[in-house]
Amino acid sequence: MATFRSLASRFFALLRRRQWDGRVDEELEFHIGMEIEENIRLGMTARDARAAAHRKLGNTTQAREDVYHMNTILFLEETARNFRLSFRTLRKNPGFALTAVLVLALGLGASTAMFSALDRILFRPLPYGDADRLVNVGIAIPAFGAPDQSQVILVSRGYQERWKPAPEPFTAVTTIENVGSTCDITEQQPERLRCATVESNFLETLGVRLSLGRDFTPEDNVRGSPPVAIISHDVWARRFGADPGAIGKAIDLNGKAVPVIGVLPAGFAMPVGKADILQPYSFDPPESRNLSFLTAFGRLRSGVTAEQAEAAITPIIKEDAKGLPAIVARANPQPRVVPLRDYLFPDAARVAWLLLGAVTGLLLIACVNVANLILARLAARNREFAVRAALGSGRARLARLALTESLLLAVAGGGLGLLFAAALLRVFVQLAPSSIPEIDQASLDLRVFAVAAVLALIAGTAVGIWPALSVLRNRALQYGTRVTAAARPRMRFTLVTVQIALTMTLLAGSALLLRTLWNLAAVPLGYQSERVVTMTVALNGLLYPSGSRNPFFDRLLERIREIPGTAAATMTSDVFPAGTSTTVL
Amino acid sequence: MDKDKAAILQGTLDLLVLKTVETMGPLHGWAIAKRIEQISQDLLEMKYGTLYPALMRLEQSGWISSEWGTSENNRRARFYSITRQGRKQLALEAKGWEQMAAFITRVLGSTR
Repeated sequence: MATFRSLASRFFALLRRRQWDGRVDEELEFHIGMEIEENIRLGMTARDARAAAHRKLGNTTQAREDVYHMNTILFLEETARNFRLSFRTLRKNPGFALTAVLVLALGLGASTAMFSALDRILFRPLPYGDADRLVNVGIAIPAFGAPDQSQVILVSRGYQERWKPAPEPFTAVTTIENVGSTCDITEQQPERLRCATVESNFLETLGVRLSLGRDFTPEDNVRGSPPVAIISHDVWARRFGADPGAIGKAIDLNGKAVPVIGVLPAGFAMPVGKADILQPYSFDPPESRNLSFLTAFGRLRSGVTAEQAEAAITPIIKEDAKGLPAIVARANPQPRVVPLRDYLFPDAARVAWLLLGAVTGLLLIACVNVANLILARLAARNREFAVRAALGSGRARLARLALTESLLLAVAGGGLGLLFAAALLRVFVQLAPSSIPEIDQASLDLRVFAVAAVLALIAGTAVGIWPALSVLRNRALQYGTRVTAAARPRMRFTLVTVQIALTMTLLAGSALLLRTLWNLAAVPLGYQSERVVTMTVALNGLLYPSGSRNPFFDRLLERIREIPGTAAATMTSDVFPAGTSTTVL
Repeated sequence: MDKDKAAILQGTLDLLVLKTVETMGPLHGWAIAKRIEQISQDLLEMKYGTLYPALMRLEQSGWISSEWGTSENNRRARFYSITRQGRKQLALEAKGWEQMAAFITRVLGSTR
């Protein structure tokens, strides 16, 4: 019965309903006329004939209603009417409507903004193929850092003998020698870039496909082989105008012409640090006594956990540790295998969940607040509902009406909340410490919008469900007696309790956070940081050989001191508490 | 309960109307009512008010069609006739009824 065709035909009938309603009247009239005529022919008086005709026809209102129902989609009709009615009632109570919408908008906006900011950390897939199987692997040296954050390294000496081919349960192991070191493009438009040196199977192991050109080959790691470079999508767009012919062209890196062999895909990010240009590093020859540290990443066989892998590589790591300097070796080095996501966002995930929880609490408070508002108003509207019930509205229908009203509020709140979220997110990005990874890339996208919409609907239902339940449960309506606001003190009491509990939790949480922030900000730096401005100057080592640098900086300082408003200027290789070259005004 | 009864009645009425219109050609509502009354011979007590919703439902389903005409006593009336689809539906429903009747007869026969 509920096939598409019958639904479609009903829909068309709905459009032509007036016509059908008219027809049933015509037909009934015609029928009565014919019946009366016949009855008179059979010998009745005109009056009897009419009465008999009506009796035989039965309930004509019923017939009309049958046709009406036949030609309408009841649910749609009722929903449309509920929306119109709700809209009218809300417009008549602008104070209530505005408050409810604003409260919901704040709650939804905060959660949407927070979700946008955290989306990348918690949910977005890493820009690597099959990233769940990628791990950071190596020796953890507790003395190098906090126990759970100690640096994980491999030693270069003997790396190839012990880790090539990749030991079980790895399918591949790759290393980065150097990340974040600077390199200068020494062409007409000089530019300082970040370069990383990696093993030739680096991209292959991470499951990254180049958007252009070829990957490194094992020969590239051999000492003395010609230099090659793979450039980031950004550099490709900036320096080559995204020209596919860039492959094979050379860029001048630190004064050496290096041919570009490949272009990284857009959105690629290094698992550690940042890099604009990748170059292969040269393996040490086996007899070398040279010792450098590598950052290693591995791909596990599917189904193998980090703990199992850790146990499996313990002997190899023990062997590796023998290559460590004695002072490090005494610091109890341990094998360590860390899933890549944990490696990238060690504390971020925990903090993110905490923030998400806090914001969800906020949303809940908003919902409870609005539910309370609606409930309070419903108490005042009890009489209206009683009248509706007396006129034949079922309780389910009344509940649907109440639910429609809150849904309308939620949709309005959601829309406004989205605007609020966009503004809030901009503030977040400005305020966020740079330690939150990739926060600058957070944006309101379609998926976030979808989350907001779902949140709005959930909030609407959540807000509507209690008032609706209260209507359903309201015995007074059933008995038709006069209703007072005292009918539901318990539910409102519960709401208020929930609200206070949530608020206290949030308050305590944010107080703790504030205290931490305060402590951090209040740590004395040992100098007056007011009115001090810092800047970084980088000199190209090629154009400024070591003898010519100091004269340059002297000239620079002199020029700066001439700028009006400058009290003093100086220069250092590091600034407290984090180091970079600077001048101080 | 009421719903079940109505559904059975509705199905029956549809079948009666279709059969009547098929055998008697274009008829107006009152004539259809009279014809059904005549055939049923008081076996079926029916309020004629229910006939008209049924007629419109059948028309919306495309099983009968209607057009204006003039009745035998010169009144303007809507005449209903069966469509090709309606004939198919009638055949289908008639077959269903026959099978049902045969089935019930057999059940009653075996328990007697």
